[in-house]
Amino acid sequence: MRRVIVTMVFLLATIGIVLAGGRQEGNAASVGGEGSPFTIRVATWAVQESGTVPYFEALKNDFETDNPGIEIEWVGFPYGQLREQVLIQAAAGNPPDVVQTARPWLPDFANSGFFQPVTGLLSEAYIADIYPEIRSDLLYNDELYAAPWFYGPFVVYYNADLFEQAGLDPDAPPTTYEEALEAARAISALSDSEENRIYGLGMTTGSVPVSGGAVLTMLMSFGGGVWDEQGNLIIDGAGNREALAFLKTLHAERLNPEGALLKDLRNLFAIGRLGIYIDQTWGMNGVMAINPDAADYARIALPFGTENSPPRSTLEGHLLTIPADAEHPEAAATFIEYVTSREQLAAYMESLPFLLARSSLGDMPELQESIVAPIAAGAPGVITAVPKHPKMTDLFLELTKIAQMVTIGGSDPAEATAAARAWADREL
Amino acid sequence: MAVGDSYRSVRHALYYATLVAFIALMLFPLYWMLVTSFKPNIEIYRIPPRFFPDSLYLDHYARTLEDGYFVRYLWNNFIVASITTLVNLIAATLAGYSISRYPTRITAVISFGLLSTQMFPVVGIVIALYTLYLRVSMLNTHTGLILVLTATTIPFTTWMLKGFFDELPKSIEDSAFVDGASRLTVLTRIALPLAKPGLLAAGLYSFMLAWNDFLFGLTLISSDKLRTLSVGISLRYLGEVSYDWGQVTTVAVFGTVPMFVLFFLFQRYLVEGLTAGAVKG
Amino acid sequence: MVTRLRVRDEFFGLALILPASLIVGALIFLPVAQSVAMGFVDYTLRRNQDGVSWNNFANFVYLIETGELWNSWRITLLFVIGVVTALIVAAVAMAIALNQRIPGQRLLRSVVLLPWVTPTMIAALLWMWILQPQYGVANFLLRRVGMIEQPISWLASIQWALPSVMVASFWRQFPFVFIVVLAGLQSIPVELYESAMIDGAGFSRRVFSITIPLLRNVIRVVILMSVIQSFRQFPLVWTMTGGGPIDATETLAVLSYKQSFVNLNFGRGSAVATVWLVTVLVFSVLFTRLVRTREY
Repeated sequence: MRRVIVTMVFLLATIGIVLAGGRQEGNAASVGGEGSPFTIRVATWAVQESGTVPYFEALKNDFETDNPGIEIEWVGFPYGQLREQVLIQAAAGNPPDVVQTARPWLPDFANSGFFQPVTGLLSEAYIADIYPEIRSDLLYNDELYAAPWFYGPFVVYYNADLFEQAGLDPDAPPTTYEEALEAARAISALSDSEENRIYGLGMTTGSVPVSGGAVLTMLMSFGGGVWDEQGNLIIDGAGNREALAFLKTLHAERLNPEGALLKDLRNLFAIGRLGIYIDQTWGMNGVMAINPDAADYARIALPFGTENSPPRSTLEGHLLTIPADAEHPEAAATFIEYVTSREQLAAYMESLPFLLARSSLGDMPELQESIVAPIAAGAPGVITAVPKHPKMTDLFLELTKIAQMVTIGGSDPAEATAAARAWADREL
Repeated sequence: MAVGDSYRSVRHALYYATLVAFIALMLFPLYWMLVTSFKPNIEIYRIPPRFFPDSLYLDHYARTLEDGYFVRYLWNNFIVASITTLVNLIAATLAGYSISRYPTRITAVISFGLLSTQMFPVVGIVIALYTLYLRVSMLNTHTGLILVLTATTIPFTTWMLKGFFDELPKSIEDSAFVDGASRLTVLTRIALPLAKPGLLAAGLYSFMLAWNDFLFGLTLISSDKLRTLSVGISLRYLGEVSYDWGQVTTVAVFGTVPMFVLFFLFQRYLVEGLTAGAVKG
Repeated sequence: MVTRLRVRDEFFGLALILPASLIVGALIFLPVAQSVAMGFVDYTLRRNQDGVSWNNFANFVYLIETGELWNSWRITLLFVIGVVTALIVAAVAMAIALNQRIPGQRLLRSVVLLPWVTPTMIAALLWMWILQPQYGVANFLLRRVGMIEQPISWLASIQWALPSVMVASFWRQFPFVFIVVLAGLQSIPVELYESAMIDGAGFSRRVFSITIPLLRNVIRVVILMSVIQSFRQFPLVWTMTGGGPIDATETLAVLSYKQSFVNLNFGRGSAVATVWLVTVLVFSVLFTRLVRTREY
């Protein structure tokens, strides 16, 4: 009997030893107390993405040199999973100190209570410097919950070469959806050297939240949206029906690739099979990754309006937020001010085209050289604040669903908006 | 007679054609992955595509190897999968042997319990697991990941090995008992050596599952130094902005080839082990 | 003496099963129990959660009233039944074919297994790449052989999204099912076939009166395993379609994930997972019973 017990203990010990063989690394242990060095954990998806890696390595170096005593630990997650993973960490009481946040996630973050306002942490001058259109979109219960790293509205990218081939003037791109439809028809009459179809106008409708933002941008530019300024639901309003009818036309004439993600549109644009499409400013990075020569023909313009309503867009951008249980909120704020400083943004801009969210940075020479320069002045004006509803991610997915209903689903715009209304009445 | 012969050969031809077509269909995706990884971007998106690239374009491979991260992900994945397999085999052998040779009401309940854990979605337990790991400071360790991967694979390997032990003639063990051997000696000296094919099969199976992991590695590991393969791929190559198919297929080749090799080495045992284990168990 | 021996036997048996039970109990069973319990309370992910309390099946009621549960349940069943049927038929046919003495048999057997070693994540990407509507190779080939006229947006089409994901799932799961069936075939004594051949039984006769009946047990096991596997097939679906378009591929796994992580409503997410657990459990018990009773 004793032998059995001894053997069991031995076996368990073996298992223990074997396990200890697996390399371990504890959580970044930070030493408390004034002045002693500590580590801040920064959750980001960009740190490992090819293209931005060199910038992030330099950033860590620069920051640690300029802020002795604070070290950075990158907590990298894939873009598609960062939101969930950060919330899991926060729910367990172990959040990072700074979180890179895509704009659509902000309502969830703010509502969950796992994040704190940055109002008291960032200097007043810094906050006052943020463009008011952008600042107002980052408020939740009148408190600022995020600092913009950079921003961009949804913009129009178009292929100047294809414009010329289709007999259009690349220096006078369409400014309304009506004009865009005409241009799209002209472009899709073309085909590439292998006789493949060229799409006229790409609008993303894939089943991901960011496509929901693109759909909402379109709805708003048709005078629709989810809520009006008084907060009444207008999800089944005339503006939305018109916008969906437009989308239905695009689909019927096969001007738009079906159910595409932004990534698909970027690839098509990169290989010259898409004339015009709507994307975030930094989407151009994806285009260039496939075809660096795209720089020669890619042009940018402000988002479309319609004959009766001005162009509008949701705020798109990378934000920086601070969890409520962050261990070092002050150092987190220091980090935020550091990465959004003139020097750092100038360096980051070399690998990513974006716009700057603070008025004091408007004159940066790097911005003037960037592909986004032509729209820099007009961009803040098209940003339209969207309420921070707790169901925002779900809402965005619902918007892609109605876009899919009128296109691949073959539904009527009115049917789709009625379905959306029923959903909204229940959920919002 | 002649009619019957030609009828039969037509049938044979049809039969082989179907066989070959099916195998071709199964292999085509892998072939396509390989071919894509050897094409420059401008070729990759060309329609009509080129099915046999006329030159091997190696830039995707150079880029993947250059940045060094990928090799680390591969290595981590290998470590995690190997140790998982080892721990798994120890625990599952004991459990399988117990269920086979010393069945009691309690072991019966436990073995049903083990199997029923296979029926619950993994996504349902990550939060609870994360909280548990935080409490016992096992987050961000390979140990933690290995333990949970072991836990997910044990039920099946136990079952496989139980079936395998059932097949071994009990008489050899009985005669050892008569010779005065202890239970443990019988297990380690007699049953274990005989169960080698079963162990290899179970080991290969758990290695595959551990190699395949995404969700646990994603949730429980946050340091890039410790990341495993699937998460690493998703982190670096499925970014926010683009699908770089050339790069994605290249890392896919890297992630698959080590398994091919391992598989070819041990595949024979898998069939053997399963013959006795899962099949009759 | 005998009882003492038996007690020691039991003790030994329990000691052996202990490590496995501890690992699985702590890391799977407890979290599962906690998760099932969550399905019966209001539990959304937020800070300073007030005490949770029994909510009278509100999560289940919600899921039923919105029709989401039914939709996902139906899709999951379609998915599972489709994939498993195809798997079994193909695996049995292939195993019989590759158990014959044909040239290159060994090599063929090995290469058929290759998809299995492809990590699921990679398999999902690979199929997305192949099925890409504008420059994917699937559309090109199908048009070339004249099976379709216009390119199809496989993953963005209401009719095709689910079948496409099923194909990918089939592709990834086939090798394992195949190898188990093959193992089963090899355990059938050759003498049976030989005597049948002497009696003049043809090939199909031998398949249907010897192979299939003797494979019964194996097929039963394989069905059970691949049903469970298919139910769990989450990463593939989520990566390829995200549950879209218009919920056409929203399986129970996707629904559970969406409720938990998109809506942050873990109560509802767990309720879905519980429904799933019950479905699979009921199926396995019924299936095992039914098949067994018919056997005798």
